[in-house]
Amino acid sequence: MATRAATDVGLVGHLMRRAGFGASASETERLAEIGYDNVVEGLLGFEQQPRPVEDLLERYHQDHADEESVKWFSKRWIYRMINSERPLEEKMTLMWHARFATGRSKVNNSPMMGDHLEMLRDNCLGNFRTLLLELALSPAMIWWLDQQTNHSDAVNENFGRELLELFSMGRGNYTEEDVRACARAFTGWTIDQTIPRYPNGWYDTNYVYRSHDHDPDVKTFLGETGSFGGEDIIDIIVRHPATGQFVASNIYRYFVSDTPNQEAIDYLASVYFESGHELRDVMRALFHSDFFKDAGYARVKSPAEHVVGVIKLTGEHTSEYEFGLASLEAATLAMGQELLNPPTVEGWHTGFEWIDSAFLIERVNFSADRLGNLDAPGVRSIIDRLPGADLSLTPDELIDRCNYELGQLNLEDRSRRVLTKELELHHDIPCAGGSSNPDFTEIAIEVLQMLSASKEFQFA
Amino acid sequence: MTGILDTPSTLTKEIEGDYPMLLRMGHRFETSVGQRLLVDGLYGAIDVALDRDGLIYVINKHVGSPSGRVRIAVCDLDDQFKPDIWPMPDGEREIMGEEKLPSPVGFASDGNGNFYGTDEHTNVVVRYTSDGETLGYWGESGDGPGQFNAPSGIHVDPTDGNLWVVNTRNSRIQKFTIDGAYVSGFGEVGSAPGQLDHPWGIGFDPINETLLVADWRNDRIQRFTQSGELLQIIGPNDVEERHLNRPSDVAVDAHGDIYICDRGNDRVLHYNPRGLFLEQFVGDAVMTERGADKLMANPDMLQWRDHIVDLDREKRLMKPSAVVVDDQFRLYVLDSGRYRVQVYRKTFRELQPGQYDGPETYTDPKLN
Amino acid sequence: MTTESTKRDTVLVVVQLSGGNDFLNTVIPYSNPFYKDFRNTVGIADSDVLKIDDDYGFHPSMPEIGDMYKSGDVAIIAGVGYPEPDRSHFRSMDIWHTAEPSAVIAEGWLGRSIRELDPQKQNVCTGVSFGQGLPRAMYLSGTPAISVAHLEGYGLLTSLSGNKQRKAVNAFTRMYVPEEFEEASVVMNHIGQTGIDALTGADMLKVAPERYTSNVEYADDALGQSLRGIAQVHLADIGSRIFYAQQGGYDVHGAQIATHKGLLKDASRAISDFFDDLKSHDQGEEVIMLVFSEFGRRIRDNGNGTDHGSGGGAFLIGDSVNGGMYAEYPSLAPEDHISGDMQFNNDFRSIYSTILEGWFGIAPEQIVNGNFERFQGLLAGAA
Repeated sequence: MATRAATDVGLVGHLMRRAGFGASASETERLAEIGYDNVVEGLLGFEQQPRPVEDLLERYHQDHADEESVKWFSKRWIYRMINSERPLEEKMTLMWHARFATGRSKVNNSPMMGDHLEMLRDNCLGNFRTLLLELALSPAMIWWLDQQTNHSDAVNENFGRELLELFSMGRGNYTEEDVRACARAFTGWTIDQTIPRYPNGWYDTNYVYRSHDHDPDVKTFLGETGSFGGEDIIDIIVRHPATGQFVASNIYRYFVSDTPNQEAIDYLASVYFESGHELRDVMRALFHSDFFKDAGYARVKSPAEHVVGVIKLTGEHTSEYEFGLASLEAATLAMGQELLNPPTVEGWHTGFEWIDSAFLIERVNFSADRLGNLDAPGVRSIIDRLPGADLSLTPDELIDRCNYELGQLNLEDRSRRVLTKELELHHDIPCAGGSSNPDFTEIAIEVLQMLSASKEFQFA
Repeated sequence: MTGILDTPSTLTKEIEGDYPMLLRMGHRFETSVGQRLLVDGLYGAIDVALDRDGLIYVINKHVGSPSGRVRIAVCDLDDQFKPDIWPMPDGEREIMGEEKLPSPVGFASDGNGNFYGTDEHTNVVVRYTSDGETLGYWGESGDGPGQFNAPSGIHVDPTDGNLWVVNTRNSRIQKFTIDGAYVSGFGEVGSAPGQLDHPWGIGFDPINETLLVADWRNDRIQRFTQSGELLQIIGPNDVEERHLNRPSDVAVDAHGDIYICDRGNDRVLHYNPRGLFLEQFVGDAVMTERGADKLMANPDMLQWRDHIVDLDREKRLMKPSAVVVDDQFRLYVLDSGRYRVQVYRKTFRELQPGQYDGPETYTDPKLN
Repeated sequence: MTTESTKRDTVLVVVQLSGGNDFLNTVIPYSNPFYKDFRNTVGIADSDVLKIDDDYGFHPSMPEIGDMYKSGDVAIIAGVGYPEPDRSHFRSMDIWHTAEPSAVIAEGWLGRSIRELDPQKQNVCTGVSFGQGLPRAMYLSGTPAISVAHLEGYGLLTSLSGNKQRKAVNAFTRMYVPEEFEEASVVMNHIGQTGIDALTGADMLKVAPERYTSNVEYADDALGQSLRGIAQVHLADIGSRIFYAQQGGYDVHGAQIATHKGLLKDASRAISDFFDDLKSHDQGEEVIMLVFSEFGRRIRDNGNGTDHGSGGGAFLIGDSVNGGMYAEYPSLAPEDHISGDMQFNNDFRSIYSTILEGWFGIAPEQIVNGNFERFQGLLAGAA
């Protein structure tokens, strides 16, 4: 594949869909002028951007008044995905949320879920060791995997097992004895009894270490022997080759493609070890790799990416005053992804499994509905940008222009043929007057809607 | 001293007014009332008002409410709840349309059975009676004089019965008759002294008839004359522990003492009229009888309580959103995050001239 | 029972009462002195109970269900639960949906049943759910199930109107239909096939309201309208076997008396209307209805309502159900309480197993992950 110019709008659009939740064509053009490498550095160095102040959101939306509502955290999160000046932070957080799943189905305590989300955000692009350690200290995770019942005289292996199986190395890289030793090392890592929900609602809870309930004996874990505690175990885990593969393949599947590429994964794993487990370095290597740059539209979007991506195109919900976040949260749920409530400890099944007949109807109807709304500022702006100096466009040209606005989908020949046929009544599309020309606007909106209903639009 | 005093605690002019000389002995915690219920309880509670019947009226956002309607909960100081008031639904539906649900935010009483609620989403003031009847509503959207852009705090002017309404999104403070005729107004957006950023609650000093506004996003309280002249700022120049964090409301008692609902810091601060900090309230709630009934039905939770490390947290305020005072010097704090109202009562002695040296004899610090 | 109707496919309607229905105030042990002790505030007076025998009776707002019980069409299954009850709505609902109390899994028991009933995926409408979003009970990756909010207006690209929508759906079909000779990725073909499935389902369901006529006037509440939709789809004879409907609001921590009364009234009316509708079309025999809730509520009321408990109850309703009281009503004596709850006597998977085996002829073990006792004689004609 030929090297693409750093100012290639398509390339920068791809980057923004992966490192964030997409961007409008005009925003993408602006970023392309800055140049791909600079945009990458801006995304990675997100600490330079302020975190959004959410006081107005909290003030203006009804839901916060219910302090118990995990749903409120989900809605606020969607708002942040749309508006954060640190898109990579939210994208990484969403990845770890799915990977290190905890959910309100079991952690039925919104302060705990909120704290967990904040913990993921704080550590999403830092050192993987710190992330695993914070995960082990997170009250929501402790509760989710019954770690509070892991006692020195009655070991509960649930957390110890998932730490190895789901959160780091994966099956086949350790024995049942290792699981046991791991669980024993985490005995005494627990939470305080919090105040029960009645009568005043939820209270959060804190991690506590109870040394009298910790098994101090010598353990053998992955061939190393010592009177290990949890931190020692995490030290050993993060050094293990399988953990490099785990981190690399997760990041690959989430940021690059649903189809694994072992060579690329090995490369990311090598960066993981060379950098001393720094996720930021792994991500930098990823964004500069050819396999990333060449992977346009190689992943099926998750519902959150779909919903937020469409809203970023329509330009809605950029103001805290705008109501209706609940409908966005409900939309991701109807498409099979309830934020802060993944279905199992394994998170969501991704790739083509996102596409189910009930879910697909929701996806198609959502995007067509939203992109058909001329009152939405982003839709209006797309229509305004369409006609150039020309006074008319051929059907093919209009499809191309609209497709450009939606982020240059990888349109299959057939989709293009079908759309062209739909427009065949018109040899030329009269676009004089642009968005003030109702006929032109109507046709353009239909093209946008049909593109957004396509198979190709299900990818990012 | 006269003129502007730039002290560490406040930027203030000498506040003129016939304030009584007072020995302030502190507040006693009196009681806590309320419960976390969608019906007959406080849920989404956003503002509180008192009527002369001694009852506490709390307006609740519609969160979780099965009907999606504004609900006013009513109870007395013995935690006895009266039936909820459901303002006339047709009236609301007419205002809001079928799709848009109202966002009540401010609520005030004239002490004679009339209540006024603001809705910051639909830009109206709704007039209710304590019987739940909707007498009417008015309000025009816009940023001009007499128009609304997210009305929030509301207060009945005790001197003439007119209404002071805070306009959040254009930072205007406006006075209306109860029928909605515009009387006067002032205010501009900004962070400079005298400017406002998303103001919320409003209090009225009955002694000198000035207005105190919770300048929410500037983290301060500002006192104005009725024509908009800035008299006092409480907040940003204060010592660090007393920085305000998004104060939502302010109330003034019959002595001119100021109570600031420091919502973001989960507390209420008490200042004297000149802006001197006196005491803070972080919550002292005791469990209500209704709360105890609730626990009795859940024996496992009763047992867990024997293992809680810090039960003290139950007493504390969480996101209090409003304060109001009554003529018995009770302070009512709407403890929204904990679905209850905490009530304190001021203890004091009024002093006569001669029992008190007065400020003019005080210049430098003294010892003993 | 006519020969013709016995040949029809059996159909199951599942009605979920969300929020935790207070079973103790639904089928009321009115003669039990402990009932009055523990239900100080929200207890139903003896004189109001719709008595079915000397010990039990229905809540006064359920006269229609009471009548159906008298006709032998309602089976009451008391004391239903699962080991180590979970009082979280979400978790407990998941457990009922997945038939798996110990591990958190994504696949629903009805999703697995749909796979058994239609292994070749010949009918995308084998399972149809009414309400907001697909319940996890119906979910199984790769197995189509339809989720309908409102039958009228259901379909693809519904924000487009009239002719525009027809054109758009037509274009959608041509964009999605997989073409064997074209080289497309597996994923593209999957999405294409799923799109065509979705469209097929929408087309099949579209005819239902058109074909439907009925003398029964359903009430306007959500459950009534969902059951009306189910009747429409069932009577359209498109081969649906499993339906799902939900009624929310049962989480009566406060103001229970009025709220619960209203909910049961709506439920009773809707269920009876539904069966009346089927009977008037002579199709009452092939449909049974399971009514369940994720848990029951505490035995002792909280002064205003009741809190989350365990040991709820379920109903199986229909012409083909042998009505009556099944299972022992749990003891209310304080020494028998578990953390203020009734003990469960029957695992909910016994009900599932009885239905799967007796009604669908499916081996239940695979679906409920274990062998659970069957209720003998619950289904007419079933062993």
